[in-house]
Amino acid sequence: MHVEVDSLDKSFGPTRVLKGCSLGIDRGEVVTLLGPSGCGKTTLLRCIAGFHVPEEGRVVIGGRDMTLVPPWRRDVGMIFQSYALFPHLDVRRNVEYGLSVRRVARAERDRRVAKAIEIVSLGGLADRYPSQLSGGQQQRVAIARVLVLEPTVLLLDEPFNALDAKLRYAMQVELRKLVKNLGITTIFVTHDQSEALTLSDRVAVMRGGEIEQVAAPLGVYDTPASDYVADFIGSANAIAGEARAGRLEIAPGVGLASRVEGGAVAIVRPENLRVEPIESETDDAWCGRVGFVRALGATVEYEVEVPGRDAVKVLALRLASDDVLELGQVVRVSLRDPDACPVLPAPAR
Amino acid sequence: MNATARRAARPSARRGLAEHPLVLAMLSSRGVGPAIPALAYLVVFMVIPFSLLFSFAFLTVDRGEVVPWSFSLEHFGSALGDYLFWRIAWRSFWVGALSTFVCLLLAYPVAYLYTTLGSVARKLLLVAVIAPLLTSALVRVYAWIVILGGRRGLMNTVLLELGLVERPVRILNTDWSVLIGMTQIHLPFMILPLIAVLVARDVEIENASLNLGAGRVETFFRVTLPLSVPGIVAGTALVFALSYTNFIIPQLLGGGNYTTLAVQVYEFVVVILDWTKGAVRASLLLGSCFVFVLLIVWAGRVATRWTEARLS
Repeated sequence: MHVEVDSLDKSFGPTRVLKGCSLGIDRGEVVTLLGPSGCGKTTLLRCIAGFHVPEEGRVVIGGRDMTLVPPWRRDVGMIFQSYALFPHLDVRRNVEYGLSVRRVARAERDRRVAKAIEIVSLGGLADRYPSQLSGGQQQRVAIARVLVLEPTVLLLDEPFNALDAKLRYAMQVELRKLVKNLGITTIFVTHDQSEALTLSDRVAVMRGGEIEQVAAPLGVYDTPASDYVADFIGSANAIAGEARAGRLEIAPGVGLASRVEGGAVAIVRPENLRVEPIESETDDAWCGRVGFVRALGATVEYEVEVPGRDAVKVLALRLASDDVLELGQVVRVSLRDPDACPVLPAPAR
Repeated sequence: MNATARRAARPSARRGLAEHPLVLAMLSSRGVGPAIPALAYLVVFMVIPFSLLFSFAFLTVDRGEVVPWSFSLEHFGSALGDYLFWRIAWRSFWVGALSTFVCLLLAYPVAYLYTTLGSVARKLLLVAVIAPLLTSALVRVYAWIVILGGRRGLMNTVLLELGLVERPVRILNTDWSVLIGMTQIHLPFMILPLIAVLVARDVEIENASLNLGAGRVETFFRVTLPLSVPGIVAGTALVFALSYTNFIIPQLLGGGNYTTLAVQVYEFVVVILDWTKGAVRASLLLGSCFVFVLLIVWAGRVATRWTEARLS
């Protein structure tokens, strides 16, 4: 374990923000802390960076207990959500900052700064001030400023929020390649599930100050630990029911194998469903009317209103020659693969 | 100007005062129109009196009457050629500059402390900073006389009682009492602009510095202090202008013959009734004050080139 967080507790006033968070991260691994705002993910990151001191628990980095070590002695690089560049220093002196604090010799300093600026392809902008740079360029400066110190741990707090969608995706891919090449242990904070899936080796889904599940991206998607995780990662139809004798019936005649007995909830992904138009309503399966259509180009998302249950979300691949169903059309929804639907115990309410 | 305003700009006898072009211009949201009342006030109560004052410096006044066609530069020349004038000007400058510097040293920690406090403590501190401004400066000067003055004054009594000194110390009527008074009376004008910049600062930038390996002290000198230059400039310019031109404090705490340029202006105009000499010194005082303030602002501009940096 390179970075180890052991049952951290942190409160701000009466609010308990972290409730016994534990997480171990291997050297060179990229881990995402994913969760909605207020779930404690940023607080956890700041405990690792040293800006917060937890009331309980330990932060261990590279085998050393760092819980009480101040931020400037941790050798942990952090990229802030607002980038937090020094507005009074130009790009070169921003990147140089950490080396100058460490009193690194001039010649070596120049060499490392030049290299860091080159890695993030900012050559030619070294004399600009942060206010003269675009959001993407500012982010590159923030990355170079940290990388120049060759940290072994990199922390990023929602770093792509301020970028537009296209640039965000490009930067995500670029950053993942960069940290993987350099072998830096990286911890990301985000509330954007697609970002988490793009970037990480493992995703830690957080909820209300606790870590709900830690697994590889496809692991949290395919076998979510709870309906909360299933709903947060991707989109899901959570179908509740009563499981009996190893079977959960989610629709008339549609049963899933279940390890749970009693109250259970089945997670049915929208792409695991199929819609077909039918002549008239029958009651042998999910029949209903198309209530909402989102034609996204490559895919089409439908919401089918089935009497007596929540709207069913269906995702269909689309070719230009395919017809898109219309609003109000009567359709039948059917399951593609019953084995791809995890059945979880019903959440305690 | 929009269409309505343009139509109304043609004066018409039938329209009332409310549609007079001047009134409409004042009510429009563009141009200098809305500033007309303030400009008129400044012209009547500042530009005209200053012009009169300035013109007196070139004229000879005899028994309360201006001597016609007596324009000359001689009055300026005789002031600038006078050794005593330069000594007094130098004293005005260094007393003003030193009290400004001490104000900055005292005000910065207070302003910094303010940003670390909770909202209730902030309000209390702000009241404590502003409250002195609600009393007349004259009253505060007299208070200093009571505190500093005499063998049995408050300060000497305390110092003697505590055994810190063996004989009463003399502070009133020296450079020290003038400096102390100026610093205390002008301190709020330094604290307030500093609070304004320090409250608005982005603490995340300081966190970035900590994260990059700089300790708290280094972060303060490398990040917090440079980023607060705009507040330092505003406070310094304000306090220097006030200290440099103040005449009550040197007059009362300096003991009557502590002469600065401002005190001299007062004496020439009010006591000696030599308006020409008074006007010459007042013009030089205001002119040099203006130059010093510009120098402070320019120095701040140089120090904060980054704020001017824009994509061209």
